[in-house]
Parts: sequence; C-alpha cells; structure tokens
Amino acid sequence: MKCAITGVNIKVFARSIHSLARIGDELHVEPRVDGVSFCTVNSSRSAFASFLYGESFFSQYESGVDAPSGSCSQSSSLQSDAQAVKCKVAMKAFLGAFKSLSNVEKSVERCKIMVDEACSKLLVQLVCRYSVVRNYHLPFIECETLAAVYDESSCPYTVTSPSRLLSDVLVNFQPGQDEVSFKVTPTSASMRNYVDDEPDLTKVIRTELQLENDEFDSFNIASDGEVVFNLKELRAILSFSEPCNLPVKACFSQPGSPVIFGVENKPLFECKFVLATLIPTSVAESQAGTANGASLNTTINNASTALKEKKTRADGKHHVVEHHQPEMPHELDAFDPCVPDNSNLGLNSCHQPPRKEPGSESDDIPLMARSIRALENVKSTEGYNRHSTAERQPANGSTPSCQAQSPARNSLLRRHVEESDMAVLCDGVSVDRTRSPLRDVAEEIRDLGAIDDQLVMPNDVPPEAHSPPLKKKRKHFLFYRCFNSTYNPAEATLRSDVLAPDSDPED
Amino acid sequence: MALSYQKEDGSDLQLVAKIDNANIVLHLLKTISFRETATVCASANGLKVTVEEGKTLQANAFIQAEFFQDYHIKEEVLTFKINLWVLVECLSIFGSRSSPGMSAALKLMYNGHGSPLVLLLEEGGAVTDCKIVTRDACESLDFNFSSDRVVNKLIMRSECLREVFSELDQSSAFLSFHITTSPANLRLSTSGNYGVVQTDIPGDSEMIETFKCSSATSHSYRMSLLHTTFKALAAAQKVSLRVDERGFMCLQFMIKAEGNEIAFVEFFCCPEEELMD
Repeated sequence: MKCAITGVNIKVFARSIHSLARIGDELHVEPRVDGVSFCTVNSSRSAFASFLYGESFFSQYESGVDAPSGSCSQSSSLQSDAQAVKCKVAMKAFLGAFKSLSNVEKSVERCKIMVDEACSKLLVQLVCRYSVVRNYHLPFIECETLAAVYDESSCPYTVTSPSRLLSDVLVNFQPGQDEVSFKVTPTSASMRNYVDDEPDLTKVIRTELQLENDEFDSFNIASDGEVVFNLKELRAILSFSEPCNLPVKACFSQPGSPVIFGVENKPLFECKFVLATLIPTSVAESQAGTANGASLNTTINNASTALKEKKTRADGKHHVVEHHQPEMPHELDAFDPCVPDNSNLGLNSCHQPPRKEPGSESDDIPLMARSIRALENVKSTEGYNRHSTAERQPANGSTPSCQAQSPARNSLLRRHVEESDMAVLCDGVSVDRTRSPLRDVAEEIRDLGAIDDQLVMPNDVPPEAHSPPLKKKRKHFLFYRCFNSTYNPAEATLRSDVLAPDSDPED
Repeated sequence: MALSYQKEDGSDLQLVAKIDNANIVLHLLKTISFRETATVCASANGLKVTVEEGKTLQANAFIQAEFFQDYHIKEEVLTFKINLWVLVECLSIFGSRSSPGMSAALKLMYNGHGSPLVLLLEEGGAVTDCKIVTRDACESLDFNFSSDRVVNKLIMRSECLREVFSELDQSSAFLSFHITTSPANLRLSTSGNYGVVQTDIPGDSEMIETFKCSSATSHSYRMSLLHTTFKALAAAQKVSLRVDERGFMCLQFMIKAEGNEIAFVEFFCCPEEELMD
C-alpha cells in the first residue's frame, strides 16, 4: 500500500490519528480497493473506532489490492511497493510522527505512507519545509481485519447533531465523568451523567441538560429511548469532528446495544465510532444527595444558562416525580404543584387518591421538603405507595403556579427520575392492610433502608434557602420512630417469630 | 558591608566590570545553566564561563570585554568556581525581562583568590548587593578540538534545527549524526521504543548556509547530553556544527543579545564509542 497526502488533508489525518490514539493502543491499517481504513479498538473492547479514507483523500494512492480494473502490472506481480497487507502498528509509534498538531500544520508539506513488507516496516515519510525529510520506520505485525459487529441500519433511533452543540453540552460535565446517559423522546433529548457505583450518592454531583429536537440536524426518534455510553470516547470523536465542522450522527437502539457515532465527508473520509453501552440499573442517578444542593444548583444552572439561548420557555417541559401517601390526601397537593389534574399522570401505583388543586402556598417550599414532611406522618400500620410520573407538561397546559415561579426555580424543576426505577420500587412495596403492625414496621424499615434516598430526594430539587428545616425534617424522618407517637411498646401485639433470642442464659 | 567596594574606580580590585544591561549576561548564562557549578575564567578578552557534564560535555559561554562599558582586570587570568544557579538567581533579581528603558545595571567585582564575587545591581534607584562565595577552580577539560582537524563543518539557521530537535524521538538513548558528501546531506537518526526515525537535511536546503564535508562521518551522541544544548539552540540565530576526525562534535551557537551584540556559546560533545562485537 502506498499513499500520499498533501495540503490541509494532512492536518485532518493527523487529527484523526490523535482521535484514534485516545481510544486504543494499536492502530490497524487495512488497505482496500477504494481506500485505506485506520482503525483501533480499546483494551476492554468496549469502543471501536475506524477512519476510512477514500481514494480522493490522497494525492496518490496505490492499494496493492487486486482490483479488477487496476493496473495489472502493479498488482499482480510480486512488486515491492504496494502490497495489500493488513497490519497493525503501535499507536504511540504512529502518533510520534504527528505528535504536535501545530508543528504538523506549520511545517509538513507532504505525507507519504508505505507498507514495506520485506522489512515488516510501515514507512511514514513527512516532507517538511526547508527541504527537511523525516522518515519513520515503524515495525508492524500482520493481522486480520478488525471489525466491530454492528448494524447501523437496524437502529430505530437516529440523531444527527452539529459538533458544536455536542461539545457545548459536554463542557458542562465534570472532567472526570465517565458515563453519560442520553435519553430521547420524540420531541426532546436530555443528557445527564450516569452514576452507577458510587456508594454514597449524597456526594455525587449530578448534571443534566435538556435539548430540544430542533437543535439537532435530524431527529428520527419514534419512541422513548435511552443509551448510556462513555463520555471520554465521545470527546475523542468531537476532537476530530469539531475542527472539521462536521455533524455527528448517532444511531442506537435499546440499552445494551452499541451506539454508533458517525462523521463523514464522503468521498474523502468516513469515520465510525462504535461504543458499547450500559444498561442503566435501578439504583441509578435518580438518587442524589441533599448535601450537594448547592453544587447541584450551580451545575444545573450552568447547564440551563448554556442552553438558555436556545430555549424560549422557562416553564413547561419538565419531568415530575411524585411521592405521596394515600392515607393523607390533604398532603398530596404539597408534592406537586405543577400537575394540574390527575388525567395527565402516568399512573403506576395502586392507589390514586383524590387530590385538590395544587395549593399555591406549597410552591415556595421545595418539593422534597414537602414530601418529607408528608412522609413523617407515615403510619406504621400502613405501607405506602409511591408512584412516580415521568410526565411531560404541555407548554400551554402547565399551571399558572408553575409559570409564576422564577425561571431559575423552574429550571431546577427539570428533573426526572427513572420511570423504571420507581416502577420497580412501586412493585416492591405493596399495601396490605391486613398485616400486623410490627410486621409492617419491620418491612417499612427495610424498605426505607433500601429506598431511603428516594424518599429524601424525590424530585431532586436542592433546597435553597430552606436547608436547616430540611435537616431537621430528615432527622425526624430517619428517627421517625422516636418522634412518632404512634408506636407504643406497651400496646405492641406479640409476634409469633422471635426476632432476637435472649442473650442471658436462662438456666 | 559592601561599602568598601563602592569605590568609584575600584582600583585595588583584581577585576571590575560594569555593564548597563545585566540581561545580556543573564541570558547567556541561562543557556548553559544545566549544572550547578561553573568555572569562570576572566582574561583581558572577557569572561568565559564553563560548565561541564562529567568528562563528556563542556559548554562555554563567552562574554566579551566589548560588551562591558567598563572592564578592568589586573591579573592576566583569573579563575574561580562559582555556583551558577545562585549567580543566575542574583542576576535575575529584578526580573529577567527588561522593559524598554528600564534595565538593571550590573557591576561585577572580584578581588582575587578567596574573595567572593560581588554583584551590584541597580535598577530604577533600587540597588541590590550580592556576594557569592567562590571556590578554587579545577582544571577545565581540554577536548583538544582544533580547527585544522575538523572533518565536516556545517553552518545553518537555527529554526531548522530547532524544529528537528523538537520532533526527535525522546525515547531513544542516542542521536546519530550522519554526514554524507554525495548527496550532501545531514541525517539525524534515532532508534527508540517504537522504531527508527531519520531526519534528512539536504545540503542544498535554504537553511544551510555552509556545508563543507570532506568525508562521510557517522557518530552517535548521547541524547541526554544533547538535551543540554536545547536552551542555547532556542536562543540562537545560527548554529555551527563541526565534527573532527575523532568524532568529537562542536556546536557553536550565535546568540544575538539585546542591543545587537553577538555572543557565542559553544558545546563540545564526546561521541559514543562503537562497541566492537
């Protein structure tokens, strides 16, 4: 294989190598009839990147592959120049030739890449200014084709976005952030960081951005979908596509199937990044801590301000979570000021008690505080239901109370909890009034322990000026049995099973 | 403290030198300050500051007497060893960047064997007085590099070499210089972790001013030694590369100091012995 690159294409090529270098450690070079493919896969095999350069990208190209119409004298005989050898070289070695992008732009005039099968060396020759010529002899290993298994055409979700948009979005995420979750609905999309294994979720900063479908170049989403992938790899793609000013096309299907990012400028080059995705777990980023109220504030506000110029509405589209206690109907309206009527709710719960119109007095109190106050009054005899609603408010259907709120507050209200998470929990906690009180208590404690954080932060709304009362409520909530007058040991009925045997030896 | 030195003429001192812009001296000394200890040799011609790396590399910076507004030396030759890093720190006490119109004036004083080197720096009315301890100078290495034994000589503009050096494979232990006559070419090659890299600078490149090659030479030098020349290369306008018959290389850097004075810094480097397998 022999090819030569001149002019601005050298910089494009160098950038693609830098992008590949952020993914894997070995560069696979595969010459084909119609061009050369440079690809790599990362060590955990969870990301595959490939750049296919067409013949028109090069000022000179000889693939060495037997082409039907190719010059037979070259390809059929045992020539030493253009050999169609599939090989791999160390990424660092190849990158060494294009180490500094600014130097490449300044000084390199022509770049020639040749496969020298006789010496098992890949030669990269850079003809620079001042007649200086740099030759890189990189040893290679012959290998088989590296290909990822994916089917782009079968992906139901396709989104094409300008690179600028994506990089603006990614700026808002913490630098150490690993995974992001990209959630789509037919009319909008949101990107948020995905936290899977953090034991103490109160220490986690959560970031979420909402995007509208008109910000994308194309948005083919039939139904709701979500995909979780690694942010670092997306940054690698953007480092290539943004300077080229090319749009990025994302294709994905259900969680767990790979997401395919494509950047192309046919017939010059075509780039594909195939990333493995995570299946979001139920203990997802919906559990965020109260302690991080302030930082959440900042992050979300930043996100909101970043997108503000694109958004025309401060009210309206947001997702809402509800927690309510069926036995306390008068507390319900405290939860959710923005749901006007029951008919809009996607109901997952067993109970749907009647509720009054959202009271205006509750608007000023963070939803979380309200829900905690409500939960304080949980009767030990009753289990309770929570149901959540990932609910879209039509823009003109939102309540006046919502609209009356300040834009900042409304932006804070843009939270949503995994519908699936809440559904799972909902299913797990059922109401059974016939159970004995103590049993209920025990079960409740267990359930509380499991879903403690959910209750505490149902709506992920950080308490602004109301932190002190919140802590108090939390204390009351955690130690609710101490403050609860309902449990009276004297009145407790006896259980049949012994929870803990006597530690004193009887006799 | 320093009052005894503040005589108008300093007539009883062995060495007195005054310069209006201390930055000239500072920048020259910075290019060779890869080691802590330097030997200063003062003569009627000026100051020569020498820094050595083992027995394999020697760097010399020449601060000619013509640079100084006032230069008096009593002895023929005065030599002493001094902590170069301290000297550089003292010279840059007013900041190493000089704003136009404001530059630190320097007065150097030395009173012979055992006495400290005294620096008086004055800028904008502020005066700094530094006394740096001196030590006995050991004999400097003499590489015995004479012009009549030079086999190959190149003079080129430094931008070219700067670019080449910045792109060198740092994982390689050695840098080889191959100079050939036909075609007239200077080839620098490295053999690092990831392969062999060769950089060719043809003799007819517009960056090469002189290419005198009598016979093809090929020598390797330790990368770490050549690293010490990078600072001088960064400051230089022109580089002269000379190789003698033993393979010893002399790199001379022409540095244009502030005020259009031309100063020279030279490096002598030992080649790596080719091991006979």
